[in-house]
Amino acid sequence: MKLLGMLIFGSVLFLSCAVTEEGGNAVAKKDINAVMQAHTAELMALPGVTGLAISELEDKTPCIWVMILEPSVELEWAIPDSLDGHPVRVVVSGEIKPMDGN
Amino acid sequence: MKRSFLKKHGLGLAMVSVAAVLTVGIMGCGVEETPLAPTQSTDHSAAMLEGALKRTMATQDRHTAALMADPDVVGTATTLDGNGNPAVMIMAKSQRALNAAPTEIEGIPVIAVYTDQPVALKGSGGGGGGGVSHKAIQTPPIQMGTSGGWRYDLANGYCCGGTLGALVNRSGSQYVLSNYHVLEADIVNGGNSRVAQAGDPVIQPGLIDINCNANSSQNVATLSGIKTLPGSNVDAAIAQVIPGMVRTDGSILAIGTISSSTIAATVGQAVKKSGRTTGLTRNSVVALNATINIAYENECAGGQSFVKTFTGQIVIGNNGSKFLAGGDSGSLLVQDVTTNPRAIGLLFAGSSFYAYANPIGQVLSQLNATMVGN
Repeated sequence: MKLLGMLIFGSVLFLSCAVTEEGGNAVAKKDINAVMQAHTAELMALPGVTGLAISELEDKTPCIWVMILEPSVELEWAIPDSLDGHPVRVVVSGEIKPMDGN
Repeated sequence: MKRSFLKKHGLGLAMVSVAAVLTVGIMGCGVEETPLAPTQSTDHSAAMLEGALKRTMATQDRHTAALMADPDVVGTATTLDGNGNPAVMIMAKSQRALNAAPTEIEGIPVIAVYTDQPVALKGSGGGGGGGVSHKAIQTPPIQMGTSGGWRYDLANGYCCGGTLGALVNRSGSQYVLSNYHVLEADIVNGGNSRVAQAGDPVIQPGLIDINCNANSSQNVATLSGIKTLPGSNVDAAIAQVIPGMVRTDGSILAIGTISSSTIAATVGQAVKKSGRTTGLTRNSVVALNATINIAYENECAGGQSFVKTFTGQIVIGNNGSKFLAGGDSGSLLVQDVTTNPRAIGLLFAGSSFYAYANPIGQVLSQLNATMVGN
């Protein structure tokens, strides 16, 4: 069920991206921070997603990071390659914890 | 006097002195073996020094077992004092052991120095910053970037601590800046029958570096009682400096003084920090405006208190926890420049892949404070 849910969610996001990109030349891209914020709730709800951030590709193009706990084919499939025309990259973050010592 | 000389100049000088001993020893052997020996008087002086060194080493050997019976004495050595005379060095990791060290042994002067475990002298592991110890007790006024924590942070069979990161000004007074979860996060009576509250002492070094025994530490500040979590977007806490205990210029170990102005993070920006566990480390900002969930405990080694969603955070590369590791929480993230770097963020969380910092602007705004610096 979890996998099915991820796939359905991923498909919806993918279709949303595809529609946006078809008309990409006609309309200016939305601000990448606003795009990430608009999708934060859905993405953070995916099991295994630890965080989101704004980074850059090697060519300095801004991109959205979706951070995940560990490598996961299911999550790679569920998370779209782009959102509202902005590239998305899935990165493994590991478990994020406070950094005190004991 | 000799001891204070070494204290003032720290382990760097001590290492130079040890190196000098080795160098003299090698030169002495060379003089004996080469046909082109220096003058007789130089030869005589070298031989005398060599003899004195041997006697000092023998004395050191005779007393090492007794000296190291103190658990806070981590080593002994033969060195040269400021006048070039042989001396016995006692390496201690607490103020108590340093104070207990004799001033001479069998007429040979003793130089007692602060140190961490011997590995720190090699410049690897938790030392960082060219031999500067971030875990050892400092002679006040102390520098930031050092081990510290809430004096009573001991519960459930563990003690906890982190880093006293930087100095800030608030309402005309100076405060030590660290994390909420380092100084103020004990919110249940739980395993130690107390909660962190305003006026409680903040110590240096933290309990984790003194076998959980607060008597081996010194009080340097008192908790403000301002709890930034769970209500705000920063994991910060401040403690008012006890007069004379902290350097008023806000100097940070292995970094020095910083700027009083701050700068926003940018992707690719070169950064550094000075922290209790990994010392002085460098990396770069890899992402911005991060949203992350962090689970907090309600006391040291306690149960889960709450899960906080942070937004707008700074992400830094961590390369297998080489930049930030457990115990570095509370470190200040600054520009990687030599002179008066500007503050960028307050480090508080991480994984082996990435480290996370609250933007310093948000931290200062939340605390109604400014950085102490030039």
